[in-house]
This record gives sequence, C-alpha cells and structure tokens, in this order.
Amino acid sequence: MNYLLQQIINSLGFGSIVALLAAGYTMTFGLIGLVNFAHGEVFMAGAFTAYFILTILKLPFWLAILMGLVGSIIIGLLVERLAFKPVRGSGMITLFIIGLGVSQILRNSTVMLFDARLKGFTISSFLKGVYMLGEVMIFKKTLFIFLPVLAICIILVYLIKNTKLGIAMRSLSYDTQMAQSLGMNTERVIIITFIISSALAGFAAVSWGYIYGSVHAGMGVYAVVNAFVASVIGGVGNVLGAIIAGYIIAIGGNLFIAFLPPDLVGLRPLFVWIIFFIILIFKPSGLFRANIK
Amino acid sequence: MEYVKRSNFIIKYVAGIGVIIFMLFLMERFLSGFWLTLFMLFGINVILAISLNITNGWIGFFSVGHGGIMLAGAYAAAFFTLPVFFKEGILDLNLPSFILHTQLSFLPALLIGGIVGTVIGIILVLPALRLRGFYFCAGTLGFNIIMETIAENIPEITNGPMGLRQFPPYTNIWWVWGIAILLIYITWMVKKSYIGRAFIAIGKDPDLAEHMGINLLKYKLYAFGLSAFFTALGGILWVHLILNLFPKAFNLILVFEVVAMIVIGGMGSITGSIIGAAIITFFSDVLAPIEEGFSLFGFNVPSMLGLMTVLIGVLLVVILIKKPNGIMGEKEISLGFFRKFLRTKQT
Amino acid sequence: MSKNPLLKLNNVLAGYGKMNVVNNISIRVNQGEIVTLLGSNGVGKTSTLRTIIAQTDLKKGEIKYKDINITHFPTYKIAELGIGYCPEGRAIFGNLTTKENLQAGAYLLKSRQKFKENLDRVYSLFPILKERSNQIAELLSGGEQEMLAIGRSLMNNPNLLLLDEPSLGLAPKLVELIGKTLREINKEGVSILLIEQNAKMALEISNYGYLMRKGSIVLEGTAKELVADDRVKEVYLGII
Repeated sequence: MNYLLQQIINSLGFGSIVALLAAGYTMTFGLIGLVNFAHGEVFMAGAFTAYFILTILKLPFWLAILMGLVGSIIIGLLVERLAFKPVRGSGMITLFIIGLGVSQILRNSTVMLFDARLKGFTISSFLKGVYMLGEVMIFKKTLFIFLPVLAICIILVYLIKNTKLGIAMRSLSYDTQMAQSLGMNTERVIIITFIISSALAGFAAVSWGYIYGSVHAGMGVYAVVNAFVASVIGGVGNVLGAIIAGYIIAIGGNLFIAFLPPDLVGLRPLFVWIIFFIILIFKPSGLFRANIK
Repeated sequence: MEYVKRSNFIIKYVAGIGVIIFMLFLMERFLSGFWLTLFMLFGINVILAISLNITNGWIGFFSVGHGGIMLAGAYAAAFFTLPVFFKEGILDLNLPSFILHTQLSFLPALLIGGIVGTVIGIILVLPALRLRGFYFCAGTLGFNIIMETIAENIPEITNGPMGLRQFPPYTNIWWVWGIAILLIYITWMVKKSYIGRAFIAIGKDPDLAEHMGINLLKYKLYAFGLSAFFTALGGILWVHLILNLFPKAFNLILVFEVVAMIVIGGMGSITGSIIGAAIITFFSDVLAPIEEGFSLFGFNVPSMLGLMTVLIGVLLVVILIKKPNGIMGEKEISLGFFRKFLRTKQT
Repeated sequence: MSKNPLLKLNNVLAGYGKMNVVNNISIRVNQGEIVTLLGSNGVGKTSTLRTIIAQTDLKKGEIKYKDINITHFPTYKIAELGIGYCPEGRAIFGNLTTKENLQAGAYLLKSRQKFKENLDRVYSLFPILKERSNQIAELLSGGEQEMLAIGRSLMNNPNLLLLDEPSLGLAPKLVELIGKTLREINKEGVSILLIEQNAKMALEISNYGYLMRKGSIVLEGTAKELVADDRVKEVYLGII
C-alpha cells in the first residue's frame, strides 16, 4: 500500500507537467481544430528561456519562472501568426505536417543556439530535500510544483466554465460565425487562447527543469505525445478531462513500470502508445464527454 | 503493322535499359567517392519517397511510421548479412542457430528484410486502419517509437542501444538505382493501371470507391504492402552503406525528411517524389558540411548543427502555405508537359 | 416614412465567391417598424440578411445603419452597434446549456443587473427555457431550440433584430407565440427585419414588406398592399 502511494506521489511532478500541456493543447485543438504538434517546442522554448535566465544570467528563480512564461508565450504567438494562421481551416493532416515542420525548425534552432546536451537548472537550496509522511517520501520540489499547478487547473476550469471569455471560447468552437454575430471578436479570443495555452506550457517547462534538474532540446517530443494522448483520452476540447487524463497517464506509466521486472523498465514509452491505441480503438470520443462537435 | 509496333516497343525498352546501365557504369567509373555516395543517398531517398507516396499520396492514409518499418527490415537483414564471427563471437547474440551461423549475400538478405519489414508494417497498421484521417497519422507516429523501444530493450538479439557494426559494404550504385528504377517502373505502371486508379479513388473518396465495388481492405493492404516492402529495402540499403545500425537510426528527423520530400514534391506524383528527394538530398547531404562551420572571405562562420533541418522545415512550411499541392501537385512529367513548356516559350 | 431610416441598403450586390446571390438590392427599415422579406426558397433572402452582418462577400453598394456606413465592418462590430441576428435553423450552441446560450447572447452586456433583467424577461416569454436552463442545448426539442435562439438574440437589447424564418418547422401554437412575442418587443421599440415562409403571420405583424425573386426586389409596399397583391398570393398559394 505504501509502495503504491509512493508511486503515485512520485508521479505528481510529471503528471502536473502533462496536465498543463494537455490542457493547453486541448484548448487550441477544441477551439479551432488546431493540431499543434509544435506545442512541445513552445514548451521547450519556455524551458530554455528559464534556463538562460537561471543558469547563464544567474538571476533569481522567480524571474526565471516569469521569463519562462514569457518565452513560451512569445514563441507560441509567433508560431500561430506565422505558421498556423495562414492555413487556418485546412485539414488536420496539413496542420499536423506544418506543426511537424515548425517543431523541427524550433528544435534544431535550439540545438544550433545552445547544443543538444542536457542543460542543468540551478536549483535554489530551499527546494531541495524531502518531507516524510509516515513511510512515504515527498520531494519538496514536487510539492512546490504540484500545489501551484493544482491551483492553476482550478482557476483554468473556472475560467472556462464561468467567465465571459470561457463562454466565448466554447461558443467559438461550436459555431464561429454565430459567435461573431453575438459581438464576440473571435480573432482576439483565439489569440488569448493561444497566450493561455502557451503560458501553461511555459509553466510546465519550468516545472520540468526543477523536477528533473535539467532541460534539453528534445524534451518537447516526448512531452507533446503524452499531452496529445491525454487530450484525446480526456475528450477533445475538454480541459478538465485533459488535466485528469494527464495525471492518470503519469501515474499509470509509473505504476506500469513499477510492476514490471526491472530489466523491462525501458519499455516505459510504450505505455502511452498502448493506452492511445486502446482508447482509439474502443472509445474514440475519449473517456469524458467531448466539449466540441 | 502490329509486328512493327511491337518491335518498336521492345527496342525502346531495351534501349532505355541500356542507357541506364551505361550511365550507372560511367558513374561508378568516374565519380569520386563523395559524389558516388551522394548519388546513392539520392537513390535511397527516391525509394523512400516514392514508397511513402503510395500510402500518403495515393490512398490517402498519411503514415509517418516509416522509421519503424525501416528499422524492422534493417535488423532482419542485418541478422543475415553480418559476419558469423561478429554475431556469434563478439556479440554472442541470442539468435536461432540457422541465422547465427550463416552469412548471406545481398539479394536474399534484401528479400528477407523486405518481407519482414512488410509483415511487421502490415501487422502494425491493421489496427490503425479503422482510424480516420489525422488519428491514423498520429497512430503511425507510434510505430517508430514502438520499434525503437523494442530494439533497445532486447539486447540479447539486437545488441541494444549500442547497435550493430561490421556490416559488409553491400550497397553500391547498381543495387540502389536498380531498385529505385524498378520501383519507379512498378509505380508508374500501377498508376496507369486499374490498381492505381483504385488507390487514387480510395484516397479521394473512400465511400464512393467502396460503392463502385472496390474492396477497400484488399487495396489498402496492397498499398501498404508495396510501400512497406520498398521502405524496408530503403532501410537495408542505407544500413549497408553507412555500415552501422542502432535503434535510433531512423529517428524523427529522417521520418520528417521523407515527409518533406513528398509534400514539397507533390503528394500523389511520382515525379514529385523524385524532385522532392533531390531537393532534400541537396540540403541534407550536399550542403551539410556548412553545418560544421567554414570560413568565407576571412570570416569564421561557427558550426551550426541542425541548420539543414531548420532550412528543410522552413521550406516545408512555406510550401504548405504558398503552394500546398507541392511542386508537381498530382501531375507527372510527360511529353505533353514538355510540349506545353516549349510552346509557351516560343509564343 | 421618416426621413432617416434606421437601416438602409443601397444597391447592394453580394454573394459567395464568384456567385452573386443578392442582385442590386435596396431596402429600408425605419425605426420602430417590422419589415418582412418575402419570396420562395433560394431567392436570396437569407443572403441579404447575412450580407447585413458581413457574412457574405459584398461587391457593390453600401449599407448604412443609423447613418453609419457599416458596409465593411466586421461581424462583431456590427453586433456591437446593436444589430441582433437570429439565423435560419436555430444555430444555437449545442455544446452549451440553455442558460449558457443566453449568457453568450448577453456577451456585450456590461451590467450584471441588465443581464438579470433580460434573463428574467426571456424566461417569462418562454417559461420552458427556465425549466430547461441547465440542459445541454443540443438535447432540446426543435421548438425549444427556436425559442432559445430568439431569446438569445434578445439578451443584448438589440435595436434592430434580424430574424430568419423563426417559425420554420414549429407547431401552430408556437408560431402564434412567436408572432405575439415579436409584436411585443416591437412595441418596446425594437425594429425588426423578418424573413418568413409563413407569409400570413409575417404580413399580419409587419408594417412593410419586400417581395424578392432571383436575388432582386420585384415588389414592395405596405403590409396591406402586399396582402392584396396577386403576385404575393401566387408565391404563397394557399397560405394566405
């Protein structure tokens, strides 16, 4: 029982990252049908911005978090305006290919500017160490990430359910022209959605840096796959579903390898794909109600 | 009359083949190592591009799993082509005895690897076939990771992440371009035949195709089978050229490059795939040394690894925005095309 | 006829891409009036309405609202000016609840007080909506959805309401209710431009009307004049 609890606690860090990424991903996916394969690199951009501020400029951690958000937002908006807007309305495959192209551009540009190695995050001393809950170990840094992320998720879901912006997003995703007829400036709503989505990715990126102690140019690819699968499981456009699915995937993945013989640990990446295939074959609409048609 | 037409036809074919053989002979004779290798890489890219075009461009199932198929085929062939002393002695691989103690020549290895790649490709694609459009595409993305993860985690068979070396350098320009020309010929003939039209019908409107009596599953399997076979051959040729193989060998960048080839060239066009392959080969292999850094007029340009991939990415995005059908669209190059071109030049 | 109409279309030529569906249309709606567009299916009535809210390609002509030239305004700006739109076939947001649809309708409303007032107003007009307020709109019946669509278009206190076939596919009792509702809100000052297949109901409540054919206006006049006209009777054989 304790072992199980420990595995779950250990998954909260990665789970938070996937939850944030999946939430952001599903927002743009549900809103304008945008398959954003470049989301992983928006994520990575935030990580590198934070890395730059933290480790190279050696500035305080709160500035790194802030600049991480800014970095992701800037890259996210640039990608949207330059690569996705010109082809808005195209089929999902076209959008996927463009996303693939953009992701290669961003990823290799980062390799060009920095290099492909791991980049260490300098972690402030107060984030090191563990709390003990009986026999279960909780890393301080996990808690420092999980709690804010939980708060962010609650705020996000509230925003979508109860505010004008949320109603605008959901209306727009169902029938853009009708939404405009009601006075909604849909282009602006889309931009705001991208900003939120990118900011979530930025926070996830900084979290990654703190949890794993380092970032690298390829971190986006694995993360975006997890985010994509989580958003499909959670139901397209369903932010709460994506968040929950994100945690489920992380916890599930950890439990999966926890109960495997030790030399099969390398099979971890397969878990997400197995889940993906199972869901797509048996219940394509996801486990939760999809928000959008 | 018939007799004359027939012999005209045969003469054209024989002459054509003769010209090709002659050119390959000249190339092998007179091209330096770099240019020869380059031309072989171009040939392999042509094979990969045209194979991918069959599934992505014709029957409209956009697959990005070709990395996994190449991996499967390459490993399968490698088990047979690697020298016995290496397999048994140095690595002590846990392979069945008949594989461990044989070393085959290229042709049987190609066939075996091709068939293994095809079988694995079809097994993996079957569950995904019921997915439509983009979800199919996302599913195939997993092939690569699945095969890579498997290859990494059964070191008794594949030597894990360290990979395999000591490959006999079987690949030469004859094999590469022989297979490439064979593929071009097959796909050209297929495109003109009923099978090809069925493929394209499925790509354009699967429901209509079904109503016209086309057995969807059968033709999809044909398409995937043909595509996977030659994709696997491409992987095998590659591995016997660069002489090593490891799980990450056919990673996302390679997958991406082949996708770029067919999109830039024009999905659905064989000529387009060849042109696309040429362009990507140009960037990826001819211009590649630029990445290492160089000096120009006394300026030292530093090394910029990954620059070529960035440029290919930019090219891909620009084409998708400005000319989404690619350079050739769905058309092929033909005499009519040349005549039109000449006519507009004269007027 | 007052000198300054609320809404003016002058020689408008519009369509979709290369196709022209609205051929040289000139229409006036005066403050406080109910004006009807009549005509059989496919003559361009819906497209005329859509042109007003900038959802077609307008090639020639101009549209003026309260003397403001709105010809090239984007849709949302036109809504901001106080023009409400209730399209054909309901067009409710199926993924939102009834109440959320009404909230969407009140998007431009700034005051919470006004929102509550308007919400109560819509609920009193269509009590069934209050009962179903937390139900997903997709699951409402056809009639309920139509009421929701009309209610939603009222949430923003529009000055000019564009309604496209509000009675389509509805039971006679509901059609009566809708006619009554339109008359009520018109008395409160809302001008209405109406498209209706049910010419009887439309001409009963309207002041003025236009008969369209093949994208152009072939006849216009007061409701009384139109009711008596043979051409109108010809289009709506048996209905009048």
